[in-house]
Amino acid sequence: MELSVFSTIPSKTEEFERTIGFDYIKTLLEPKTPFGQKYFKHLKPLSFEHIAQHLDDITLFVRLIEQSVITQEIIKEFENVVDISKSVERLKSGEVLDEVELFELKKYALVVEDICEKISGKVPKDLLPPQLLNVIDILDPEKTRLPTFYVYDTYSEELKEIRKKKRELIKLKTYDELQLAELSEQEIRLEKQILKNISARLSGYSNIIMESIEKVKYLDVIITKAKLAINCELSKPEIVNFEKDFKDFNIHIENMFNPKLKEELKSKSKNYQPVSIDIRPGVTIIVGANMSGKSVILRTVALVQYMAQLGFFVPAQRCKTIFLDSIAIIAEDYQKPLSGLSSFGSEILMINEALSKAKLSRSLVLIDEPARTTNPYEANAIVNAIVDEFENTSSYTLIVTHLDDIHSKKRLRVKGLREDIEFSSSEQPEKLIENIQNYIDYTLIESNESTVPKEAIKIMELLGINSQIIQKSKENLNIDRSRRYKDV
Amino acid sequence: MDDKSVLIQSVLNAKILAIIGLEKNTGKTETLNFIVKCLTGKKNIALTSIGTDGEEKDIVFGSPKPSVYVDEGQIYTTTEFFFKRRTVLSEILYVSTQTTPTGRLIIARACEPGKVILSGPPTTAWMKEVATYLSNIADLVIIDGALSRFSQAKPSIADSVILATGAAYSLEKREIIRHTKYVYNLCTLDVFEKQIPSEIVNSNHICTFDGREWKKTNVSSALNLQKLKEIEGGFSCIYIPGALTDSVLRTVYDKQIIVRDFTKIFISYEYFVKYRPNIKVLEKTNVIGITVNPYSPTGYLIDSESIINELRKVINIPIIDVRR
Repeated sequence: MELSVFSTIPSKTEEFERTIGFDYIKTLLEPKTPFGQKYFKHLKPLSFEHIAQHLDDITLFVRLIEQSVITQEIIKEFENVVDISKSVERLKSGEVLDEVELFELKKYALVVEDICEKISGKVPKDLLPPQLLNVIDILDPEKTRLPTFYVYDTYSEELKEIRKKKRELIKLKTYDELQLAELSEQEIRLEKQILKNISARLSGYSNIIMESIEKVKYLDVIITKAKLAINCELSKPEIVNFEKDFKDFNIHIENMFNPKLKEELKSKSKNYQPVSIDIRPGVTIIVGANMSGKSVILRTVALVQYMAQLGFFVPAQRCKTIFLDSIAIIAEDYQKPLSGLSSFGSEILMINEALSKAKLSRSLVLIDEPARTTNPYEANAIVNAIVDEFENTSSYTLIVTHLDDIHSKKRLRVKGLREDIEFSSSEQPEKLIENIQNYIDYTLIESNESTVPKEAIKIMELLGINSQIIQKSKENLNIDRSRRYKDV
Repeated sequence: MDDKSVLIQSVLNAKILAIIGLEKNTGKTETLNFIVKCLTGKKNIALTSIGTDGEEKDIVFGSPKPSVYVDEGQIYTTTEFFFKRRTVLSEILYVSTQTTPTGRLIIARACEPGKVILSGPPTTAWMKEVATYLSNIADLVIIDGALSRFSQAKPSIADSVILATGAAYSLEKREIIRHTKYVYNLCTLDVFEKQIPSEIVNSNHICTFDGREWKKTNVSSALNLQKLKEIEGGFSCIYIPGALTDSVLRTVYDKQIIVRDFTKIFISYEYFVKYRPNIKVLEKTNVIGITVNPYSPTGYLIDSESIINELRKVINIPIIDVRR
């Protein structure tokens, strides 16, 4: 039983997953069985115990797949598994299955038996589906072990006799239609009786078939997760459960990456610079120039934590994290145009909701540039208040901001524009944006300054913005500074 | 050898045969039954049919869809709705996950002789899949094509085709002869003799040839006539991946036109006669025979013999009356 229900902000799973980029991960999953497909369609965060179990089994299967103990052929075999769960439900409640259902049940049993044969001795016994030999025997009285079915003559001597008579009758050039109809009727009646008997015998095995379905589903889920881990170079997260001793536990993520972005860069033969981060309980402010990847950091942290709680390997070289009750990400959803409320309104409502959750339970709260759409004077006051309030909770909070004078116990800065690189002004702005990662060092470093990096004008220069604007901007800055000194 | 024996000989050489009716009730099922009876014992046959929409139409006309005769051991496809009402003892070999309007597709083997109702995949892609599956377990696959849906006769699916015509198309003899000849001509259009680069063949865009090299245009559908007219350059030859319709023909009639196969041609007889276009195909359809059904669904009977004689003057393949 789950002690607490895991929740997210935005509360709509689809929105949340899109914001953190998990929708992309979902497109990479290739479950083979109808059970696995259903599982991944309605993914639910796991309990702490289940996470540990999933992660251990994924570790095992990553090894088995990499060493080709579990081959692609074996995995492909799972594609032949048919969904018989409805028929099993019907068996359990004493209903009679028809021939099509029995065919599928037989096919299921034969396919699973085949899979078991291929993987037994290679995976721990407790992962193997139970043997269904009794079920197969009922559905395969002629012991052909072929995945086909009809009401075999072998089921009843009487049926065999009737069919024989029928056949002989048809062979005659002229025969009594009435006699044939009578035989057919007897045959149908007997077939119905046999279907009833078979169903009754099978219902005794309905629990074991259910168990088989559960085991097949679990194998499919673990194999799917293991294949994702291999393909995306994910790693096993260490995850601890919250107890009092962990009050000072820091979430530690080493060299995390955003799988979608990494893939995009790879397709343009560019490198992705992974980023490491330590998040302590309370608030950490993240500052950095525009285009320095702060939003990506927030989204990726959320993705790492979410995937860990779903029992997946995570996109980082190493991750030590804690079992949490909720994840909140308050960032722009690029696909959803704001409806009704202004951007400020909906943002602040979400922050409010995140705060009330953070007070009651352990959360990861990620806020991208709060109050960015309102005036800087009030924004400064609001953000400082938000920082204070979240600092008083036991949650892990990351806030990205461009505002000066935000006071927080911990502050990280994206290193930003590389100093050693000279910008050639001849380069086209579009080209520059496309190659921006060449000019930026995405590393996060601790910072004690209360101001934010001033690189906006530098970036404007980089982009070849109107020189008058740049010149005036610089002049304005100087006036502003000298005024300040005068005031002092 | 008479036409019937020649036809059966051709059928014996086929791997996947499609029977295409020029109109509903032109005797496809009679043709099918005739062939099945002739081949019983000689070949392991699998029977399939396109969709089930034929039945609904039959109900409208009030003429019951004749069921198809299968012999013991023969394979057939049907759907759940019809399988549950079958009278022939059948072993289930395969049940699809996809569904048709009448339930999932079932492939079964008849354990005794009798009559079954065929039903099958409603789409070309699915039909290709099923036909391939069947050809792996049977020597000959016969597709009962329904309602003039020529797409099932694609050379990429069926290697041989029988055209079924008859009184259901028209009660006017001349009309039947004219239309049958026309469809036969389309089926037997010549294959384009020159090698075409594979990226052109697989492209979804209209391509042009100026005598030296192929050029891919940015026009994806020929139905966009305005764009079609704007294609520049003095080309002599045009490849149209989609439908070749009357209006498209009007725009490009003076060029050499290439289409994938005859199922892409939707030109009316009148336009064909008016423009006499030079059309070539990438894949030729192998028509091995024509069957004529003298009965119309409304109860009329026409004189099939004179039709057959008339057709024989211009068509040099077996032509038979299925009712004789």
